[in-house]
Amino acid sequence: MSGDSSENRVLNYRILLLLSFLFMGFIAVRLFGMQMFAGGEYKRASEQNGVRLVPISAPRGLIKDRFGETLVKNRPSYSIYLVPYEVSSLDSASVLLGKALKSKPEDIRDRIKQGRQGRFQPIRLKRDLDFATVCYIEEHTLDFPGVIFQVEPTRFYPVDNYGSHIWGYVGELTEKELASDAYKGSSLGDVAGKDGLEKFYENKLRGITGLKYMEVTAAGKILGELTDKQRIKPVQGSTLLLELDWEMQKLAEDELALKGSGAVVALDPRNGAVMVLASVPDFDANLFSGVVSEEAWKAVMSDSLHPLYNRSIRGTYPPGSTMKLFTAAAGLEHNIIGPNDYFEPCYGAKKFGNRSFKCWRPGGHGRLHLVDAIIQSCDVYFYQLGVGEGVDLWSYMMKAFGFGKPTGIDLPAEDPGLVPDAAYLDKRYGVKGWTKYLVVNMAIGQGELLVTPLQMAALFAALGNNGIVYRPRLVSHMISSDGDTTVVAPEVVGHMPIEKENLDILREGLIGVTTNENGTARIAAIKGITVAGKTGTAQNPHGDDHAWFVCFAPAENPQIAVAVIVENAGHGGSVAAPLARKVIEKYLQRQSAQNQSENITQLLDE
Amino acid sequence: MNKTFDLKIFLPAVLLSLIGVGLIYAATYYSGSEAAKNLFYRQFIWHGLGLAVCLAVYSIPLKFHEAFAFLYYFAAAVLLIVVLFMSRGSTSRWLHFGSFNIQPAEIAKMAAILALARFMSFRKTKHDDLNWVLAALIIMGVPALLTLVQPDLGSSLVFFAVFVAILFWSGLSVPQIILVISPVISVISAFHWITWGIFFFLLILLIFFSKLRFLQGAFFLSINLAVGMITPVLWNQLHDYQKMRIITFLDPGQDPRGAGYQIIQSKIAVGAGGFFGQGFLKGIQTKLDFLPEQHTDFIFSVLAEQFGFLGCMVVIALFFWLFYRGFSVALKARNQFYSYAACGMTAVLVFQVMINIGMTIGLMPVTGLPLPFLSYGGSSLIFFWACIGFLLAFNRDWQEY
Repeated sequence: MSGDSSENRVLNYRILLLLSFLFMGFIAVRLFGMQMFAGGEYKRASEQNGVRLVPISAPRGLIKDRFGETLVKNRPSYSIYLVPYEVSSLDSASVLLGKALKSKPEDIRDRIKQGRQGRFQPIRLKRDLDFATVCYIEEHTLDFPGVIFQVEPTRFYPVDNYGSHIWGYVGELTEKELASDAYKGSSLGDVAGKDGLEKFYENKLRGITGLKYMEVTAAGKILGELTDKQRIKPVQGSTLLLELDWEMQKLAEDELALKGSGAVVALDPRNGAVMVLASVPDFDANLFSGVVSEEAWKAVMSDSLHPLYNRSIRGTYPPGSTMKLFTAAAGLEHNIIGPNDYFEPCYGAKKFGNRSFKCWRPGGHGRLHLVDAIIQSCDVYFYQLGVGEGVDLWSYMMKAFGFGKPTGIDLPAEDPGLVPDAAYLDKRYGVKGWTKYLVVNMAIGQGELLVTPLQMAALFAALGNNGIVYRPRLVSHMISSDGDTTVVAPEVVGHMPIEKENLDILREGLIGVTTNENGTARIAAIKGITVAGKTGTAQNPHGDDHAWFVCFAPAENPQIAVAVIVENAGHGGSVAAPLARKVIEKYLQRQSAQNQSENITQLLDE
Repeated sequence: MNKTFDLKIFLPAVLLSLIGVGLIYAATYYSGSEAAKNLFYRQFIWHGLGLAVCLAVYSIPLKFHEAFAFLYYFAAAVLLIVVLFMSRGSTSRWLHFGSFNIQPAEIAKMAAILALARFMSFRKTKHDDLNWVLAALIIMGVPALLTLVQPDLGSSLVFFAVFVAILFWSGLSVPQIILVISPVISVISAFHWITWGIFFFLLILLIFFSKLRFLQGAFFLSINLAVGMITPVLWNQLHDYQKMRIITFLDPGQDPRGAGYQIIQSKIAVGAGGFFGQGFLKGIQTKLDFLPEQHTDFIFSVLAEQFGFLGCMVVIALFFWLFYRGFSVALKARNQFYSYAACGMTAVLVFQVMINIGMTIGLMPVTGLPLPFLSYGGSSLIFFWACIGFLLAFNRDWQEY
């Protein structure tokens, strides 16, 4: 088998020597070929330093609604790059380029300095050039050594201003972002999501930048792609499939715009799917995806209605009477009141401590039990219920229901709202700077308590869905460019501590709001389906009160929950309730259309 | 110097080192940073340390190393494990002692060679089975795996190369060696069923004609069958980005931003050298600082650009001279331990020269193995100077004998 005999060793020694000689000989032959035959070619390449690495931007992922309608896409645009090595004088180049690109020479200079990664790494000077500028520079190529044009995808929102708060917008990375680990590998002029889905799903939407090798002459003229090395194709970001229903979204925004400013949120109580997330006024997200002109930026920023501000997740309002439901739930759970118990009758006002608190109906409601108090939204009833609970129990229960914390929607910077508790009030008014009657106001949803429209929709949805709180979810699927689909599953994030029989009592009250002859939102009633809802009026110290309506339908097994707030519109019943009704009607219409088309496909299949 | 000190081993190493120092001077000459220019002085210091190690190895009686070979091995393995827990960033190749950094992989190479040589010297000549090969495989496999996870593919391949060289030196025939490394070939060929099919067919023929005992033959067949079937399954379960990570790990030239770009620039530099080269300090590629790693892994491209084909041939001849002396020592060594150790050390030398120059001229993947004696870098230099010390010592003992 083996032999260490000296003959074997000598043979092995010779084989090893021969092998290493062959290796070296092979290298020598190759060197000879490269240096003697191809030498001239390499020498030319070397003298001209002829290889440039040019990045190929990846298109961002698309965004589609639940029926596959494309809401956000990309369009081709020209970007201009500069290779610093070709520039002999930075000053004159900045002046010439500044003139062509209509920028200040100092800005161009700064940009070149900032973007410099190496002598031969092209720097992106400007994105989304207009065609005239491209032509001008192309005609004067000799004046612009080192300039490279690239066709790159630019974010495009083809849907006017609708939904702009949902996707947010993209913008160029700042110097600080470029230096951070999160954007490693990005270069100057790359864009990233700055708000909305664009920001929240940045890692999914971004894609992977490709790369090509360009051969360039000594004069800086591009000869074309180097054949020696293949280009690396960019990879488009994942497509986001939303739970959004585009028709409903448009309807909600149009209706809101007719009435001024505000927000509408509609979601599916059974899984948290967000079908509408409207905030008005909105803005044109396209403004930001190219190069933002100073005027456009100023116009958006100086608008007194703050169009960039997403009211549905960041607008915090007192919930008004919609909160009475939760005050009632807390009271029922802790036996402060039973369904058939009475408080003192309402005579239009009641004194607590040395202050008198009015009911919205000056003549009073008389004696009511809980369901009627909800239906007629009697303030005096809930003042007494709030005092019975006290600040500590009340704020503890509101937090347990989910107020005062973000709902967890897949959007950045959601406002958690605010549930005042004793600690907060001590801080605000000083210890003993407030009385136990402060809860009187909070029990009917006024005062320090703050909620977002999304919170109202999500927590009302839970009231309709046996107290199960789902995380509101805009994205249902993420589809990578090679077809891998990630499903974003519904996620239960909480259970409201309310017993089933108490939920039924609350539901009875909510149904009465739209069906009872004394209900405050009979205008929201829809034929053939029971809507369970509650109106609200949020006192606004800065102007007219805000109108709320929050509801779910059908009342028995809800498929949709809607929260509407119309700013400065006064009473909730007359303004907000009809809007919610329209959203629900649209939903029903979409459902029946879908059922019909499903029936047809079924028929066809058969 | 006494006549037992073989200048024919020592001299090429010294000449290569001097050329290396000159090239590092050239590679960093145009660099703006002081730190880069200091590399040239630091390389002198490393060579000084290397020479000291070489003479120390030469002076210590070989019996000592022979006796402690396994102790070295375990100490080196511990260092390799320690370094994994001292990672800085994504790689963990270095141990830090103040401003002084060492690569345990280099220590482990030496220790593993000595340990394997010691193991082979134990072996009685007439063992008619391959069980000892498994033990040898474990001796080299442990440090190879520990360096692979650092991750340092280049160094772990060195262990593999030493393993194959020593099997060959032990008198195993080429078909037997192929049999031993067949699972590795199986993994590589398993990416397409046709290549694997051909490989498996050849393997069956090989097993049949090498007249293995039935159990051994069945063992090799089943291992290859299992590897060949599992590999594609595992591979397909990986995500694309994971596959890409493995591919760029095996061949960083696939990463166009990093090593791919370096290879292009390196090839241009080599080609631009022509026959006589562009002259000392005259290379355009070097001047323009194209290659970030020029003073380390791509030092050969500086040589090729500035001294042309002629300069390359001088260096290649010097290397071949060293190979020749190294294998000669292995052949004439007085005992088995010396012989196997000399063969293993020379194999490392051949392997690293081959891989490094091959990479510079675009024949081999970029593995980050330095060029012996020429590349900047302390740990590697000290390793090779230690090799020279051992070769000199083996040679002395043979002459005294």
